Parts: sequence; structure tokens; C-alpha cells
Amino acid sequence: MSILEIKDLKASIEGKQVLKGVNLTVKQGEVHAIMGPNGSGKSTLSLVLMGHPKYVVEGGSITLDGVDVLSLKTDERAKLGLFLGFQYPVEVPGVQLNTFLRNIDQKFNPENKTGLLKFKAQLSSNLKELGWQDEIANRYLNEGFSGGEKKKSEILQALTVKPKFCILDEPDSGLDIDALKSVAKGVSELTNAGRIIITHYQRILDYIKPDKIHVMIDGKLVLTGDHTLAKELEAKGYGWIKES
Amino acid sequence: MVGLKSLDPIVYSSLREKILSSNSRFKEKRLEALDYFEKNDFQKEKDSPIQGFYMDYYSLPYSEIDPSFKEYKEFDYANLIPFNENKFIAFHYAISDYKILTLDENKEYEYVQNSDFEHLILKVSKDVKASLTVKKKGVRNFTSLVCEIILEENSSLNYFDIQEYHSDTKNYSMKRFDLKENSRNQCFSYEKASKWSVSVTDHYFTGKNSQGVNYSAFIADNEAHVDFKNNSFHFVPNTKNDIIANGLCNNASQAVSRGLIHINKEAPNTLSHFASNILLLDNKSKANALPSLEIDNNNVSSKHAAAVSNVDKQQKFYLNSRGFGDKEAEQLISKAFVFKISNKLESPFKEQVNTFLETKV
Ligand SMILES: Nc1ncnc2c1ncn2[C@@H]1O[C@H](COP(=O)(O)OP(=O)(O)OP(=O)(O)O)[C@@H](O)[C@H]1O
Ligand SMILES: [Mg+2]
Repeated sequence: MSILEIKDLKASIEGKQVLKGVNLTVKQGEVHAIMGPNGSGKSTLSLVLMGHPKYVVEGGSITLDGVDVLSLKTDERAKLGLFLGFQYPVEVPGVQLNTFLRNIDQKFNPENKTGLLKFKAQLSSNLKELGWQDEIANRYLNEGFSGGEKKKSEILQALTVKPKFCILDEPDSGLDIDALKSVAKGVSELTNAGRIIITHYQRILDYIKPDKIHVMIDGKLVLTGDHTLAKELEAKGYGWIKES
Repeated sequence: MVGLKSLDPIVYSSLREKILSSNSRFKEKRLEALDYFEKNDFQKEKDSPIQGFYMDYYSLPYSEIDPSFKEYKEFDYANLIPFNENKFIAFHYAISDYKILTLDENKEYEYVQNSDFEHLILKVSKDVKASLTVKKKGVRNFTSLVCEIILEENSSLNYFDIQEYHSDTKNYSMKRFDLKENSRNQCFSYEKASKWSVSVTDHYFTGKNSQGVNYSAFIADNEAHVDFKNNSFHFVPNTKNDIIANGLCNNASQAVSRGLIHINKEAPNTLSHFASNILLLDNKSKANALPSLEIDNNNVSSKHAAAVSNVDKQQKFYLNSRGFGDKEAEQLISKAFVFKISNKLESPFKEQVNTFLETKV
């Protein structure tokens, strides 16, 4: 069974320490949610996990099945099985979504290499799952996509990559009711993956029951609870935790 | 810049001799052009990465040039491009082969450049819908291909220009389209820039309701130098042109992309756009994009935009996070940079161009 371990992770950006000792262990198939106030460092954690060049790791470790993730470049981390669903997905005009997904498919599922038909069938079914027409795949990667469409695009990519662990940064932001359901469905499809879902709302967790919910405040995971914690947070906010 | 001197007198007189002893029908004109070349200075191009080119031009081994003076019988010396337009053109006129090609059927034509100095007149006949691919290749010291393309009334042309000279080649390439009434031109130019490369594409809108699309992509690699120009001249009412010139610069290459939109007083309802973007792939490459406008009529719409940029770091990280290594991510971004223009072409021209580009970019 795969295991992702983050120990006492400290990281800074432009000289400002944002992560101040994060500890988190996720096992294959588990769903963890991270909640917490704006600016507490949730996205930072996701970007450090993926090796964004702007962040400096100042201490701690990240391992995936014992492999030192921090020593790897971003693309190597991806190949090792880490996937980041961006809070703000990037537009890449000129690269068609379907060709891009095909590239990814060949990279991550080399056993499919010859099966263009198989790929197309898979793509078609993934698109349907997300409530999308096939035409969207002819568009350029995320270009001009609405906020919600960008979120769907991230899930579509995750479904193609089939990662061991994914960290999804607010996959539910800006989604309408139906879109939320399809994204949640997409995320639950990734049954084999350990999933970390960063969110501000309990809504998405109604569809994907998390094994654990963590609260990040000021660069640390200060509280962990079960799925009922989300409701409690929604009712009480974060103030009481800071005080305790 | 060093003063511009003339040709070695021995070379000059030997070229003169060659022209005189040839059986060219245009001897007088060739000599006139040679004299123009001899007596006039190069126009100094502002911000050109290839200033040296103009000097270098003199050190070429002209004595080795052996013009064949081939001339098509039908060639009537039609001058869409006058010999005294500039010094390169003058030299070119003095020694070129003169050819004429009439596209009078609805079909795909191909033309391959086959001598170092060629002057080509292309005529697309009235009502004809044709495609033409022009291929320029080969190992050359210096070469110039000048094309005058006349689109007769109601004609339509897909023009695919493929330039892939050997990297040591110094070249002056020019094509000028003359669009008569209701004609339509869709042009895509691909250029793998060589050591010294000047490429000019002009659109002359001389017939009402004529339209052009002029997309191009150059790739400057391994210390290539390119001066890339796309101009649009609107002389009559209701004409339209859309120019996009994108380029990639890698491994200490230099480029300048220019674009002039000229709209006459007599040309209301003109719609003319110019956009140029250059992507620098390393920090030793340099580029400039210089659009300019000359507009004498108020009832027109004209836009121009130009930018030089580096590989977008966010895009790169995004692709890295999807398993693309640094090189691979850059390649994908470069490819996207070119494909986002070719994808704007109309089918089936788009597919033809894309199929070609797949193997090149
Ligand atoms: N380039 C930067 N320079 C300085 N500070 C930065 C920079 N980028 C991020 N930060 C800071 O790091 C902190 C953590 O940001 P992060 O994006 O991780 O927060 P978050 O928990 O994801 O918030 P949100 O819920 O709003 O998405 C914030 O205070 C932010 O302002
Ligand atoms: Mg965030």
C-alpha cells in the first residue's frame, strides 16, 4: 500500500515563512480534507509538494513510499505519482486539450500506447462524467475556460493521469450545483489514489466522505477530526481554534 | 557603421561583361539595375539585427556567381516590384532568372526554387481558386527569390511559403501580392531562419473588396539573424488584411519583426490588423517587434500589437506538474506558439500547414 508522509515541513516564499511545520500522512485510497482561513498556507503546501520553484523548503521531509520527494524535480514528482489540481489552472493557448490529454495518457499509461481508440473511448466517458460535450476537448488547454470549467479540466487531467496521490486545491470553487456533483463524482472515481482536498466548504464533502479533516492555521495543521468537523467549522468559524 | 563602399571594380566589370555577352532580352534593364546597385547605398534599417549583412554583402565572392539569365518568353518585365526599390532588388534584377507561372486551374501547384537568383511572376487567373506551395531549400552562399503574385478578379489563392535554406545561407526573400477586385489570398509562411535572413511580404490591395490573411512563423536557432517584414498597403475601399507574424528565437539568435500598415486617403472601410509575437527561448537571444502605421483615411479600422516575451514560468510549471520535463515543456510551449496561428487558417489549408508543421516544430 502506498503512503505519502509529510513531516515537519517548513517552507518560505520571498523570505516569508509560510509553512511552519506541517505533519500529514496519507495512505492509498484515503480522502483527507484540509480547511483553514485564507492565507494560512494551504495552496503553499500543495505547491511545495509539487516543487514550485518560487518556494524554498527550509526543513522537514516529504516521502512517497520512502522516496525523497523533495530531491526530485517537478516532472519527476509527477511521474512518481503526485498530482496537483491547481487553485488557479494555467491557460496554455495553442495546445489542444485532447492532444494534451493524449500526451499525458501516453506518459502515464504506457501500456495504452497503441490504443488510440481506447483512449478516445476513455476520454469520451470521462467527459460525459463531467457533464461535458466532446467539443470542449478541441479547445486550447484552459484558454477562456470559465472558473468552473477550469476546475473540471483539472479533474479530467487527474482522471487521465491516475495518480497515486493527488492534492486538489479548491476543486469546488466556482462550481454550480450540477458541476459540483460531477467534479465530486470524478474525484470519487480516483479510488486508488490518496486524495487531499483543500476546501472552504463542507458541500463537496457531502459527496466524498473524507476519512479525516485537518485545519490549517498559520502554516500548521493544528486540528484533525472526522467528517463531522466540517459542519462544526462551518457553524463556528476558525476563531475558537486559534484561541485553544 | 562603416561607410558603404562599392563592389570590387573587377567584379563589377566582370558581371557587366557577363550581362553584355548573354543573350538576355533585358540586357539594358539588367545593366541599369547593376548600375543602380553600384551607385546607391543600402538603406540602413533601424534596429536591424543584421546591420552587418549590408556590409557583408560586399565581401561575397561575386566573381563566382555565374548567372544563367534564363528568361521565360512570356515574361514581360511586369514591375510590381521596381528594380530601384532597394539595392538588393537591383542586384537581384541584374542577374536573376525571370520566370512566369500562370495558375489558371482550380488545383494545387508546387514550385521549387532551382537557381540562386530567381524572379518569379505568378498570376492567378480570374475566377480561379488555386493553392500553391513554394519551396526554398538548399545550401547557398547568397540567394534571393523575389515573387510578384497577381491575383486577378474573383480569384482565390492559398499560398504556402516554405523557407528552409541551409543555415549558412544569406538570403533576401521577397514576395508581393497584388490583390485585384474581390480576390482573396490566404498565405502562410514558414521560415527556418538562416545566418542572415531578410524576408519581406507585402500585400497591395488594388482592387475593391479584396481580402488577405497573412500568417507566418519563423524559427531562428543557432545564432540565426532574421529581419522579418510584413506590410499591408490599402489603396482602394473595402479591403481587409490580417497579419500575424510569430517567431521563436533560440541559441543566441536575433530577430526583428516589422509591420507597416499603410492606408490611403481613397481607401475607406479598410480593416487591417498586424500582430507579432516573438518568444525568446534562451537569454542570449534578442528580438524586437516594430509595428508602424500610416493612415490617411478616418473611416478605417486598424490595430497593431507586438510583444517579445520569455517562456511563461507559470505555464512551464503547470506542464512540469503534468510530467513534462523542462525541455519538453518548452517544446510544447513553442509548438503552441506556432500552432495557435496556423490553427486560424481555413480548412483544408489549415490541415495541410499543420501536417507540415508537425514535422518541423
Ligand atoms: N510571492 C509571494 N510573496 C509574499 N508572500 C506570498 C507570496 N505568495 C504567497 N504569499 C503569502 O503566503 C501566504 C499563504 O498563501 P496561500 O496561497 O498558501 O494561502 P491559502 O491558505 O491557500 O489561502 P486561500 O484560502 O485564500 O487560497 C499568504 O499570506 C500569501 O500572501
Ligand atoms: Mg489557496
